[in-house]
Amino acid sequence: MIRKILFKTSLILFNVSAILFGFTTLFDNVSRNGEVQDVLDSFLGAGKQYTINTGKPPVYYKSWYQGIDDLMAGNGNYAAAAEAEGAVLLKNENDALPLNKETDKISLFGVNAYQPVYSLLGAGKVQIDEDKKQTFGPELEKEGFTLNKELSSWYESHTEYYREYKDTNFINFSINGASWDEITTDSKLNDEYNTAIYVLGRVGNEGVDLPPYTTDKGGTSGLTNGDYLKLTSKEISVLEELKKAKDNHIFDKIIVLVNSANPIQEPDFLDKEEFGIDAALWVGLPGSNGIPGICNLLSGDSTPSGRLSDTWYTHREANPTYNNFGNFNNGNSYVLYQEGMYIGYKYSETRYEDYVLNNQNAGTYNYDENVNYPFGYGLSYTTFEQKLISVVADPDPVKNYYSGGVMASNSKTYHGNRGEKRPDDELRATGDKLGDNDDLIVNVEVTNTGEKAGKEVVQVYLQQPYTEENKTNQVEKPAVELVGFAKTSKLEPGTSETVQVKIDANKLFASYDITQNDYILDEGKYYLTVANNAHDAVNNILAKRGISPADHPNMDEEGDEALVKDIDISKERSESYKYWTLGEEDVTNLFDHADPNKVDPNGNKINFMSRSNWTGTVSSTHQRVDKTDAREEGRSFDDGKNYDNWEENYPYYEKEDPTFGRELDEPLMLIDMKGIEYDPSRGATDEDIQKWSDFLDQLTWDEMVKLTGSGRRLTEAIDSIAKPLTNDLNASNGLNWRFNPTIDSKGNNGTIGLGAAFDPNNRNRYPTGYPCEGIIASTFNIDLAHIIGQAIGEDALWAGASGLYGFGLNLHRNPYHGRAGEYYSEDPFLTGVIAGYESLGAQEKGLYVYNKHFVLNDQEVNRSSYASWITEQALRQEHLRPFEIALEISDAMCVMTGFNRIGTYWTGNDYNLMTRWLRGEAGMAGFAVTDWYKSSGMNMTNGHLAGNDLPDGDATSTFKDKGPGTGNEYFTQATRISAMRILYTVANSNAMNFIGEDTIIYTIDPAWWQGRDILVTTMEAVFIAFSCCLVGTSAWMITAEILNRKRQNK
Amino acid sequence: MVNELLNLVKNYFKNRTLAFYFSLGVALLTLITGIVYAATILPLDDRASVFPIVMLIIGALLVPIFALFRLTRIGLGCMSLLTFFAFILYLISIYEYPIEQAMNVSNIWEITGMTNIIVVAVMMFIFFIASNVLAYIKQEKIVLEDK
Repeated sequence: MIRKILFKTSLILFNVSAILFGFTTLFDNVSRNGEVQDVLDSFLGAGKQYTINTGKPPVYYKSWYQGIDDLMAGNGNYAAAAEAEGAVLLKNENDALPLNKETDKISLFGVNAYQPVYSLLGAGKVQIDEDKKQTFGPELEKEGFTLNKELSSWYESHTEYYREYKDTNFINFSINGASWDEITTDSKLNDEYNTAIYVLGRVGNEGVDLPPYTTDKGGTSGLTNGDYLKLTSKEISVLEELKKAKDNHIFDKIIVLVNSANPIQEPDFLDKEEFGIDAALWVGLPGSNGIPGICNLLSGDSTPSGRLSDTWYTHREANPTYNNFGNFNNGNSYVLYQEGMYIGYKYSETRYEDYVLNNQNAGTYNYDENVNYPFGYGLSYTTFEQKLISVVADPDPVKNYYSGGVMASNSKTYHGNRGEKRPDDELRATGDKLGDNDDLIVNVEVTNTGEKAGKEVVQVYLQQPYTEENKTNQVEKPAVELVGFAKTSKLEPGTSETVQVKIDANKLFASYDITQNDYILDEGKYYLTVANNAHDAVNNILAKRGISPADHPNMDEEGDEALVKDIDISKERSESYKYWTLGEEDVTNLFDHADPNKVDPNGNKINFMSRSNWTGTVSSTHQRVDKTDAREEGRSFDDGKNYDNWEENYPYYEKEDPTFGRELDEPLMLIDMKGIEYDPSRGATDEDIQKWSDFLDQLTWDEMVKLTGSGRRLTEAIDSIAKPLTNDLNASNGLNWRFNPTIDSKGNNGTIGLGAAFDPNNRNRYPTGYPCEGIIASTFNIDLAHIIGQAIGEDALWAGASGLYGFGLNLHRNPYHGRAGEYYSEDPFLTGVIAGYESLGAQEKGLYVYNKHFVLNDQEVNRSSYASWITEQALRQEHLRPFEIALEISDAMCVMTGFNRIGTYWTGNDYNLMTRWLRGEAGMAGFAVTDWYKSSGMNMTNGHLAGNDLPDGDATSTFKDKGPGTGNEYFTQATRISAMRILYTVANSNAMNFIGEDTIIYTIDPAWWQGRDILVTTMEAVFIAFSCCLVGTSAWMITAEILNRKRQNK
Repeated sequence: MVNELLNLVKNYFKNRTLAFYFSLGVALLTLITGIVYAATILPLDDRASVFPIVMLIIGALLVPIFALFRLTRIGLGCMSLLTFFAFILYLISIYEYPIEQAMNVSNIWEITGMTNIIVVAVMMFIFFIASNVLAYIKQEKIVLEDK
């Protein structure tokens, strides 16, 4: 009896303890995942980092501002100014704009006037405090206009017509809106208000492209033919009725504002007679403070000076990527960059030129039927005349400095040791003849010939010779490429200014030739032209070549040959030419694995778009890349099965564990490494290199794992070297956390921001949200881009953020790209320069940038897995070029790799990309983080080896067992290098504010972590104890039963 | 020994209670859960562990095997334990998948395979509870022999 009771009792206790142990184990595992831990921290209490100083703590990065109110006011003004300079006047007839505050009274139509699209959604979303949200009505009134209040009240009380808004990452695509008949107020036709302003809006989002490319997100029922960028029937009804009202003299003028990062895809929609639109402004996504800037434009207080950073096509089929953008599930999502070099205007202008000249099998290409507005287009309230004065060799390019490049002398001030003179044989080329120089200056005189003050953009385009050898070697040359730009100051009517536009001829006159394993500078005649847009550039150059509409009927307008300078490149120059790089590696072919024809010549041959044969290579249908074993080879790096081939795959490392956990007589702290270079090519001395070695030797393997394996929008604190935790925040259009990051970060606030130190009670608010990157690019103003970067850096200083998950350097490959608001342009040069200056501004404030997404993440559909197939020339000159230029201008510290693949190699596992190109050629000194880390498909062990240093997530569990003595020498070395890059970056950032030589950083883990450990240990002990009891009582029961049966048998 | 076994087999269903048949049913459903797991969860993500399948199958087979020796309740106890640990191991191996996928969707039901993940987890838990409860219920009728 007792036996049975004991057995049953121990069985019950065993069951209970097993259940408790099981759930405890589950909780222990799950709660240690970084993302989950952050959420639990927010409920149960986060850890705290204490920074203890004995003296006055140093502040390395200071602010312009006195406090957060001052900051918000100042940065808000910059945001408004950026919007005013970037918005593009697309049309202005009948003196519609600017409006007259006294006589032009406004009826404001369109739900987006009352529910503006401030930004796109997802990680790039601009957060705005509810009480700070601006809408067009009140801002127009502040500007001094009289508004049709009754109409506005109707819209404000009929929110059922607003787009369905979800404050989550993903939207549906309901444009919604009210048709003309649904606007049930007579005030819509109140003739007291003679000006109709209609706001058209479109949203965007990461993770999805616009319909018809995404069809499963709902709200698409009101779309025309399922196309998000076409006008809906409701919008058309309003525009048509406004026109009728104008014909009936109710309205004198109709103004349209296009509130979208993506261009509307309607042929001539602003010129349609049935709409009667007098003026239109593209205003992009204005952010939190941009609407006042738009109102300044409407009133004439500002004069529009923006120029389109994209070609606006008449319909989506006109875009060269139409057949190869989107969801092509080849079983493994292949995306073919069939257009190669011919993205955007490079396609439309090049094909146009060849059509005019009847060259290259151009076929028929009616420019006006394909393009609404060319790249670089934009109007003003005044007129300008541009005169090409001269093109000269740059007498003093920054060529004697290590960092080289056009503006890179600025980066000298960011990192201390740069500025050493290069050896003579590495200096940039100079010579008496124009063509012998690596650096040129184009001098342009700009005169305001109109009646209003305003700024003008000078755009400089280049045409390279397209030779027979190019055709043979498959080197593609667009008819024109933007190679320089500048913006005047505000010119009063009748005044002039001479603008100097610097041209990096070394980079931009060259083309990549895979048969030469290098960039080449062809012998021949090159043309530089000043033009108002890419199309004028082509016509100017044609005029210089003696082509006119008189003898070439396909030419649509006479060009101006006076705006063109031809430059001869001699044979000698061509043969002695060397492409200049920031890094130390010689240029060579690196991306055979991205070209399906090279990866598997036995697979189906891919015809990339070629100027040598337009009609033969422009895709009229999707071109499929067949899946073959050879093409799929890159995926073998996903699961780590190739670890045995480290020596072959990663020749960078040696087979030896580095030192860990060494105790120095005089310990080195992170602050001791501030300003110390680790790379000889960046000026590191032997002493510097030894110091880094000693410093890193101190770290234990566990500390290295923590530092390089845990990076969920942060870098971890390492108390032993007084490294603070850093907050690395989204995103390109401004910080999307409050000034008090503990509200949004769900965890330890780590770095002390100026807000915490000097204005702690004012931090429960969001920083400024800046206009979308397309607007910043459309300013064509590097000074403004620089200031916006500094403004974001200021926000970070006050918020305690040290890293920015931005800026977005992918291209506007297709207008349906869902994340267009975070990227600048279809043009890589414009992207790189504007992003470079924004990056420079941010980093001057100690905010390191993670330019993203590196590389070829130019669509959202299937972004988590798609394999990109592209030629090496297009990859280098179109998609890597922005990152290259941004690095030269700003020494941009970091990148974020894409989810996608190069060929079938995940970007982070592509050694040629991450190490040989990014560090070897482009010279990046900082570190690479992944996009949101998902261990499936993102092998971080290979990532470290390839040069991807940190996951945006938690990979510590995959690292910790690969430490010293485990036979993973390559990995321990690679991890140490990753740690060095991270520490170097943080040491030279605003994270070191308030940290001096005597500073102690002490992190106390949350109490619940300790509680968890105790719970786990206790449950484990209890489970073991009751297991033993059960075993014991069971053995007793069984023994007794056996003995009993034996007795019975006897 | 063989004769004894044959006898046991011949009398397999003799003097069984209703609870016994429930137990066999639960064991069968547990086996099916293992098959469903293999078909729907394993292909979803590389991290999905294969061990839960093994534990579910072994656990499910233990019930009829122990029942042969009239020790059904011990078999149920073992199945309960194995099912529970399969459940825990399954959750530990799969939980990262929906967290990572969450950034690509607006609600969790849009995650590919989420329904399967939850259904399999619920099935495992239900059969763990059921087998645990059944282990405390008589599986055989007590037969009084006339003397």
